[in-house]
Amino acid sequence: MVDTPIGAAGPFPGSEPDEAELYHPHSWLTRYVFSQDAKVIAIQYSGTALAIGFVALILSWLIRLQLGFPGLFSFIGPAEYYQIITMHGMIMVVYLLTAVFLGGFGNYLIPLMIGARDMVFPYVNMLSYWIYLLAVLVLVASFFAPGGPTGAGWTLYPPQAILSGTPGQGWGIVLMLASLILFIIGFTMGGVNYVVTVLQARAPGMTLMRMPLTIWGIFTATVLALLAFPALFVGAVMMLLDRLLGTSFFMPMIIEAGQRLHYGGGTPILFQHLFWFFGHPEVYIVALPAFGIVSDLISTHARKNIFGYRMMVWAIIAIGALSFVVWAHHMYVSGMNPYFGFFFATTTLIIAVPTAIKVYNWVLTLWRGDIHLTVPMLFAIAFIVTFLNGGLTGLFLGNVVVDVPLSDTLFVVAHFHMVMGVAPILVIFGGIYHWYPKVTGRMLDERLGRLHFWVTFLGAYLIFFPMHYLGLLGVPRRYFEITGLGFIPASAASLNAFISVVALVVGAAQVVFVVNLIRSLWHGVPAGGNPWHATTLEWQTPDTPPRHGNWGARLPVVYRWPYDYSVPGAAEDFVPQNQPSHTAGVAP
Amino acid sequence: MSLVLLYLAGLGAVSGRWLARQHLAAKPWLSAGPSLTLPPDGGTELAAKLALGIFLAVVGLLFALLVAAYGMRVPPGSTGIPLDPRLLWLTTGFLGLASLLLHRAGRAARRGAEDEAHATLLAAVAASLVFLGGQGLAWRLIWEAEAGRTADAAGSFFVLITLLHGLHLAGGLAALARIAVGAAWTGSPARLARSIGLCTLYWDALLVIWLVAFGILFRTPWSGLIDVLCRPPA
Repeated sequence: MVDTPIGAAGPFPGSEPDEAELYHPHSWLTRYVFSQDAKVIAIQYSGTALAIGFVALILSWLIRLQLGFPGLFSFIGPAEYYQIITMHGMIMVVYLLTAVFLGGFGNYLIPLMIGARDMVFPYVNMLSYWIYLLAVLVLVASFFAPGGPTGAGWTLYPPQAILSGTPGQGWGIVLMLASLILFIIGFTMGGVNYVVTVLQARAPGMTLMRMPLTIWGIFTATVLALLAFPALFVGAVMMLLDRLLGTSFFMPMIIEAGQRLHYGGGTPILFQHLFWFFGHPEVYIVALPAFGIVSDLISTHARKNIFGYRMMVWAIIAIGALSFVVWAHHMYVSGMNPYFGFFFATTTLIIAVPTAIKVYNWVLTLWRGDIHLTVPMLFAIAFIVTFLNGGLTGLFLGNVVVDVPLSDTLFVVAHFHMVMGVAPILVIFGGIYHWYPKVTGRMLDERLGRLHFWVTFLGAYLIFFPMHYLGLLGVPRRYFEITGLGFIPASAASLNAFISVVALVVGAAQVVFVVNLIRSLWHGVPAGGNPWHATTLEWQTPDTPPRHGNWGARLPVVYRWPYDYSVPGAAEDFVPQNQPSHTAGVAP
Repeated sequence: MSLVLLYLAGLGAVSGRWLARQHLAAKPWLSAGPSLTLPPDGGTELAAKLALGIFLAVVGLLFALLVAAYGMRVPPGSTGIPLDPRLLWLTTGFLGLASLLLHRAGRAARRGAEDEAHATLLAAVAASLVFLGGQGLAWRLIWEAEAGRTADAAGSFFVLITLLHGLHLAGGLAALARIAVGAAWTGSPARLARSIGLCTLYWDALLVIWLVAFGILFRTPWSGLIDVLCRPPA
């Protein structure tokens, strides 16, 4: 490797706010509440998302209590059940996963990993969080509104979403739609900021092909989100007008309880197209940051350069592009031209190719690595296994002939929970265990972390693996109570009860995680600046936790890619990105 | 959805062209040193332009989705919207005028003629307000004629599209007001010119979006082209 002279690159450009232009907080309120520092905003995003995520976790307990022990809990009636599954799904997909990966990890890691002082537009970034918080509050308000939250299912399909037979038809659906609209406005502010920051504010020497895969994942996912959320926005606004102004975008002519409603001519399928045009890229909006983070965790904790970096980058871009031409595989049972079904089945199978490349490259990175089974590494490996499992069942469901009989069964629930629920949440945990020392300056407790990992990982498999078999038996999803279906054996009820007990245990295990987060703030082992001996820039800050502005007087200069682990001849088994070859003992 | 896919393909082509220049085939593990390939010093102005460009791409997609939804929802033989299109030709004229005035204000600011820039800016604001007022009047006429709730939904789409377009323009007006006040406060012609440049781009984009929306909602010389792009084949 050869160092090129620094002078060739100076004076260093970049449009990140420089030290003089950064808004420095002057009070506790502007430092910790209305902060414009991306790191504080990241913690605000993550805290809010995890808090609302715990609400969704409790809702999942209620779902399992009803499915495992039907009739035992009188406070869960059919209406409440549908409200619970709707809120659980929407909160988990949009308000937890999207917010944590992009708002949380994105805000914390983008400026630090690319060597910027902050996001390019810090004020807009702050607004983005507060609008997100407002969206969450509006959503939560629906729990307390007359009639309760909507029970339309997380896909909010019309016409039933706004008809009187659906729980929450009054305030619930209106608040849900308003909350989604706010969320999208807030996200767009943040998303534009992330993209511009990555494109314009990278440190000297940080070319695109020297960016860590975490940044590639977050960056591409942000682009996807900017292009996918408008479809949900349009759908939500149109449904809101149908509900409030009596338009008929989605509402066909309907006779309800003998009365003809004023609706007519609407197309429910149009909503499905809009929803899934958002909905499928949403899978990758969550998955791509997870892919990136896992790549970095594996490389760091296996002390080995990532295998096939270029392929990993190209695969991220290819997956992002392909994710916009597979949406209708969610609509096979809605009916479509058979040629369209063939087209969408084919594109669905094609997207498995770049995804498989990533899985192979993770495994090959682990191959003969110096694997340290730290807690972040455990979560990263667990992700690979889980994502592979969920992805393979996705290949089944991508085919029309398999999807049609399985579509309304628990097989689909098991599939999407493995691939989009458990897998990304394992990465969120892994990422938190990995970067918590940088955020707080202290390590999370290792024993509590391992306990948390094993209960969560094994528990998730005990919940969702048997659920595939229930689905194959034909156990339907969305049903409040499974009775009178003679083809389902009695053992299915026992299995459902078992799954519910495990779900309670796994949910309770998350308390261990929260206790660890809080306890380690004061009692964690001091971490130092770079406890994992990692190469990427966030570990090279002059202060831990990094101060506002991140880099002190001078921005870092990047000399190398982010995966120089175990370089032959180097003084240590890692060479930070900002270290010139001659000081690292690497032969020029 | 073919219009949307076409739009995304266009964005993909632009992104692909850009990515092709980013040395994605480089082998970063073989080269060390600060081989900087960032754009030349553009500072905040470049970032703001880029941010606006990305935002407009998102806004464009939003309206492409609406036009595609119109194509899927409104039957080809729709009776149309019970509104005299001359009102909308008039409002369209005012939006076009606002756009032209912003171009002129930008040129004046770049020459350092601040007073002229301010006066032209105010005229652009006034023309935009007239446009919004005209759209509001059309909105009200449609609503009073109950055309927003007909089964063929053409009136509903008019209400929806003009509402969202008007909200975007109102947001632009807020930004324009902030710029005018900010420029008066700081007295920096260069900064004023930069800010007006961004607003001009935004107004031009909203004008194009409105022309497309107008073309699908009413019969215009360019309606045939839009029909081809957004109507599913019979």
